Amino acid sequence: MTRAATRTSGPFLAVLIGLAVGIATLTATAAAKAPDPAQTSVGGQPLTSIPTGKGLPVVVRTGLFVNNIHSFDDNQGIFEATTDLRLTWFDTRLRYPAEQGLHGYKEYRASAAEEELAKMWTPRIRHLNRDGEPSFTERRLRLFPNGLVEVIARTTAIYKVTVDTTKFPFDHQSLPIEIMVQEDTIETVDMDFTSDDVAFSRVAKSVEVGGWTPGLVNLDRSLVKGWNGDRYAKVIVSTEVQRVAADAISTIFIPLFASLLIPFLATWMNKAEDGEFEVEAFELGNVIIGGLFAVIALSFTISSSYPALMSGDNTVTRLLALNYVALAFGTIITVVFYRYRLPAAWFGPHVQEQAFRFLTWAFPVLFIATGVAFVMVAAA
Amino acid sequence: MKFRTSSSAVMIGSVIAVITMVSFVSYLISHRMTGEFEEKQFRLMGQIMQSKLHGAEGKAIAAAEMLAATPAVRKAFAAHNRTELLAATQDAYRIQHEKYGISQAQFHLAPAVSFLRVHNPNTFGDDLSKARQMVIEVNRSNAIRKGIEITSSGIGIFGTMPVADEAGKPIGSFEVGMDVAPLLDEIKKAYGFEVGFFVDEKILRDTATHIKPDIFSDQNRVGSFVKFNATHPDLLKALVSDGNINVTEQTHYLQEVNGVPYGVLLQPVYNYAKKPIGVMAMAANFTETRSADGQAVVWQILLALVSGILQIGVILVMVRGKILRPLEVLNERVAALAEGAEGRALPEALCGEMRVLAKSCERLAARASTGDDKGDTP
Repeated sequence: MTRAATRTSGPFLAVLIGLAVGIATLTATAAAKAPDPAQTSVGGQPLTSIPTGKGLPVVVRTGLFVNNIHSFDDNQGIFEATTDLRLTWFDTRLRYPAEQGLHGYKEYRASAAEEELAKMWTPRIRHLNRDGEPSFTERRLRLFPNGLVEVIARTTAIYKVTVDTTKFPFDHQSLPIEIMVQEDTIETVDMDFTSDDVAFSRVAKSVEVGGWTPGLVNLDRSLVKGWNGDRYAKVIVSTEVQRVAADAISTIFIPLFASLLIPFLATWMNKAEDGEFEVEAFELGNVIIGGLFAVIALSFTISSSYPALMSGDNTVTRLLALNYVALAFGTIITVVFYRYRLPAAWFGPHVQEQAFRFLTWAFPVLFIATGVAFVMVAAA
Repeated sequence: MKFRTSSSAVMIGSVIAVITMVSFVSYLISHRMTGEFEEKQFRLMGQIMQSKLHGAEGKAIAAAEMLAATPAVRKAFAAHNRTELLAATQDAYRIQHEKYGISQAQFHLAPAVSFLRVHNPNTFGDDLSKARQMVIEVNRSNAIRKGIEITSSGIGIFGTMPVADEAGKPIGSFEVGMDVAPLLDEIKKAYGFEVGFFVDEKILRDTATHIKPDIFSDQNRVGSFVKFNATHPDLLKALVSDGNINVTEQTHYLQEVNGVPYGVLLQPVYNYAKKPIGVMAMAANFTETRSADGQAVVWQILLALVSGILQIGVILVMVRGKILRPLEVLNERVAALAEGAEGRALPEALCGEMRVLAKSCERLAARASTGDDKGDTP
């Protein structure tokens, strides 16, 4: 019976032994050769698991090249850009003999890159300030013989930006792209950059942004706090842009300074002669009220066209406030001097006359100087 | 000169002078405070650089001591067995290189002959005495030495130590060199300063014979220096030019790039033999201090203008309205009285003193007219 069984199972056993030898040979070959990225595991550890060959945390280096800034809307606080985000890290499981790389590395593009990336570990990256999904994404993968993995993702997307208008129209804005690692805390995956990444991170020379002059790209490390003391690595890539101030002068500052002249009419249009005024308070009061409507209209126009400028403390809101204060001062002059003649009643007609003469030049000088100072402070 | 013009001019002039002086002094004080703050910032930048360099030297010598302390290393070195020595050190070196920024490790025989470059094992036997004063010094004095050196492989921050065999007999020296780039990156990460290391091109060409030739590109050249490392190459290129890089002592200046003011500190770097080999440049964004200084000027000018105009207003209104104009009125009345006119009701605008004076003048005129009637009395 035993013989019979042996006879029957002989060929089966031979196949089994052959298979075992085959597997053993394959394993030995795999151990001898560098793993192919197409493989899904090395030494029982799947390639999609975190690479610990260089210890933890896995340091993901970040660089970002700005291909184009399609638009920057400072009123809505968004910008659209096409960027090349370069992430590099070491996965020693992916080392291979240098002669296998055609140009010193293996390269996979677009769908081929996606196929390869699906088989290996990649950091889970989240763009914190991205508004919606990107309109275009394409990835390229390069594997270097020493286990260096380089992924470049070209993305066209809209990003949110907090606009600081304090120094308008001489302001610089940072257009940030905030990239963080999600799920893996900083003890497992860290983000970093070196001078090589900073050199990679720049704006293409051909980039033009309407009303803005692009500057340098800066990289900054940060942390995102999670639950129970967890911290996640974050890198902020900021593209500096400087506003072209000349554009704002004609559209915003000329109307603001022109409207500032209206309250001065309260003194310029009148004349004092022997303690008496030539023009009645009523007529000059109308001028002030007209000025008030003009400033309100200007304020509405600015807030609808440039909403970012109407929030917070900046040159425009200061100049609008100065306009209102000037109108209030004009109203006070009209009421106190022309209607009730209080200076004459309290100090005599000569004092009133001299005070009026003083106000005809001091009132405009003080308010125009203050307005200019607001602009100069923004420029400083 | 009339009192009307002279009095006003004197008072207004004195007000303008006082306000101008006060504003100018106030500006000088605030400007000095800003300057002192920036000076402190420059000092801090210099201290940070020195401290980091010393720290890197300490790390280099610590790594060297650890590597050279093992008996296997001492034994192989004492036996001048290069193969065994490499086998005993290369794994430890690889880990240190990959993780901790160590870029060079080399054993020397006295006085300064390369025995084994762990980072480049195929090159050995060359005499380093021309460029490596530190190695000669270690083998001569049998003591640890630290410092920045240019070697055939590049630039490093070295810690060099004497090595003795198990009997305590000196057999040579061992050194570990750290890359400069990680140090600069560390400064940037910790303090936000941009740092660049510019090296004398001639010295680098003569000594670092195995360095990558692309370092000598035109893009990297700044005067007689080449940019060896930089945390922000584009920014440092704009901040450091051939006109200001030739420094023999620590110096600093302000430079604007794309409308942003930067404070730049230049520190000459010397090798162990105290020979200048390059310049370390550190840059910090000075927007806040420069902006505060500029704003202080504007606000001080505005405050001076407002206070000056208000005081001039008070002078003009009170002097002209309360003194000069009533004086004119009084003058007219007195002149009329002198002409023999009758006294009139005094205007309301006259102040108490003026009214008393006017009445006295009227009484004087009345008395004079009465005296005229009676004739002169002896």
